[in-house]
Amino acid sequence: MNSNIDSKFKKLAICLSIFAVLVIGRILFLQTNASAVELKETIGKAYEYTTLSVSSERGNIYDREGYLLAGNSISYTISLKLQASNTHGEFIANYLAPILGIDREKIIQAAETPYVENEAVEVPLTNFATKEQVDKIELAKKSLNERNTTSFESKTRVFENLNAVVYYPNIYRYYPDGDLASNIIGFYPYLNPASGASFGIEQYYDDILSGETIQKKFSLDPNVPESIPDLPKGASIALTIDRKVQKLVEEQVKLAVEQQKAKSGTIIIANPKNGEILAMATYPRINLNHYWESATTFTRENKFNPAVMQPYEVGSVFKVITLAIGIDSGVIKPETVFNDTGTFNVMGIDIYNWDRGAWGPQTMIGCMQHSLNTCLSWIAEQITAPVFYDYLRKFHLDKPTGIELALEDYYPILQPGDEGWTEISLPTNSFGQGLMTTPIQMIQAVSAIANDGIMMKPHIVKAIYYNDHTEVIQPEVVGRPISAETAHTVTDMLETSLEVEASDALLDGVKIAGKTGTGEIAKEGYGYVLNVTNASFVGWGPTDDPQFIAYVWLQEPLISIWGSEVSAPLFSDVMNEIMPYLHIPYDRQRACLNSKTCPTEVPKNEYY
Amino acid sequence: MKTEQHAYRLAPWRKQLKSIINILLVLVLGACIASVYLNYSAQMTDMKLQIQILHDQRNELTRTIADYVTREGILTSYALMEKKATQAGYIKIDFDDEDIYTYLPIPGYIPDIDILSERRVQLPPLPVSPLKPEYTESLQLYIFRKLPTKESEK
Repeated sequence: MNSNIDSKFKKLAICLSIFAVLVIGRILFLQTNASAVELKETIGKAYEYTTLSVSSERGNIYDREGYLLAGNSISYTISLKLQASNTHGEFIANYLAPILGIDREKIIQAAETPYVENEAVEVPLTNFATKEQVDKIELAKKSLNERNTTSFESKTRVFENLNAVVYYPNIYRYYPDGDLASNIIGFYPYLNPASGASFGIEQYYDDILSGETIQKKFSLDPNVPESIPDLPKGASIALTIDRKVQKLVEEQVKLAVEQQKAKSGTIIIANPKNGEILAMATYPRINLNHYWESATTFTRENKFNPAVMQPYEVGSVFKVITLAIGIDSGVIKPETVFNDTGTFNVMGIDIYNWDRGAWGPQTMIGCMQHSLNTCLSWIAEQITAPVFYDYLRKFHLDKPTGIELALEDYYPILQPGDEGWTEISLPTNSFGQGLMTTPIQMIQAVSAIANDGIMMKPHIVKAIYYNDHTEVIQPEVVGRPISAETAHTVTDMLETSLEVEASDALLDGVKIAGKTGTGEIAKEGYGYVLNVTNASFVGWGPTDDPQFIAYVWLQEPLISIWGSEVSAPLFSDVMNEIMPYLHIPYDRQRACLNSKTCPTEVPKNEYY
Repeated sequence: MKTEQHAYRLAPWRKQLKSIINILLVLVLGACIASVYLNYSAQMTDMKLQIQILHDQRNELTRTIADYVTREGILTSYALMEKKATQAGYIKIDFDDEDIYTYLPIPGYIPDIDILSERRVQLPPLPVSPLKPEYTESLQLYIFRKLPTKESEK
């Protein structure tokens, strides 16, 4: 009997062991078999996990004084869970309408959208609810739930609560100053982040502003705790622009565009000694919090930031470059005389002055003062084409400046041997026609003249604040196209030229050098069109120690087409207003600081 | 060869008891391991939940900080600051007015000389500052000086 029981136990043990071995074998098979593993992963992917893109907080953008220009703000998406909201839309609407300021009927309609499993599950009411609004909803929810659990009513009216209302936090890009420096900053489309940052600093530094983005698998099982990994915030950027100066310049450029009925306006103010951009104003601009307006505001002929994105024929302001080349190459001197007969003939084609007049014998200062195309054409002929274009390369006019703004454009300069270059190109190029440059290229090139022949790379970023270190952007010398002596001579000549001309660009308290320009515009299919111009001015000062360089451009002004009547006074208005904010003393104040002219004993109540 | 026979052998119930005890031991051991495993996994889950809660709080704080920084940016935005300044009664300076817009020389200060500039005017040592008395005397002296004296009343 006992042995019979033993044998049965043994058989049972053997069976169980075989079963255990089979189970383990099956487990091992499922763990290792390729198709089984694939099946498991497929099921897992579909039902157990979801992969989401997780990004770190985007870095801020500041002006040089530390004022926030672009930051991040928090908002909440308020949604309704349809399964819970379908039966009591009116009740929910009564609570939510006054809190969210949304039309009551709209909420009822949303709440009573029929629930369809896997299709219509949730309806968003708003993407931009504030923390205060969410707190009010939470309070209402809490009080309703407490009431439900304690009152008899809850047993009969179980649906009358706000449990259907859910909310999710969003971080979105916000620009506190709206349209201030919008052409520089660019924008990050918070409604459609997948399309990426556009224009300006936002696009140029998108990689470092956005920090790190990872793909993370989140379990769909609510019992599995998941956490968002700790991602370091993107780097923040401080610009070289001064918010106050930028604002003042923007106001002036807007006023000028509206008064002159111009297509657009651009002003750049820079420090020629270190290449820092102090202001870069354009008009039209958009409020960056309404970034979608860019699609309707800007066109191919009127770009987001013309200062860097729009090459154009600058006209006579280019004579500054030709003059510098002429003097540096030794073919002319300030006292060289050119006899202007009113035309300059190249290969049978006559080049005329802006007024079609003949100005007789003129020194080089006279040539610049009267902006004589004939004279500059003659100078270019003396320089010769190879030398002239070699200098243009030295001035980096054949390449983008590399400023830290997205989509910087440039126009290649045609040279002898290139298709499209003819003998007439050299003289026309000498006075800024037949070649195109951007305002920022002109700022870089002319800064060499204002800075003792040393050309600085223009830059608009002062520092980048990473999480673990700060990178301070250092001034960069990009070339020495002309000698210091040439730079001084050209500055002195253009100072004299402006003074003799009694230009509207002259400033009350500071001596400046500069040149106006009226560039003709070639329209596709028509050639150069009468009375449609680009009015420009480039100026720098104080001439004995230049602290600023400014470039002004009005595109197609209608009231007056001349740079001397439009851009020169605009330069003066702008500089008169911003000089104190740039901490550049007037000549009277600098004279006071000089012991030779400052009175040793200041009379009572007189302070300098 | 003689086969050795034991005088006694275990009673069947003892053998069964032994088997049961063995099985129970295995079960108890399994239960112990399972309870330890459960205990640790429960603790781990609790820890993970705590971590998750803290992560959520941190994320919420990060968002709130970002939001507050931006709110501060809004409060110090150009338009708002200008409005506040106007409301506070500030007016724009007339920069052409030499009495209003003036530089105050600091005795002994020599500005940095830019090595890139060869043309910079070399400034000699600055003259003694002609500062207003208000900037150099104490408040007590200032009030005393400003108070009407008997002589001035005459």
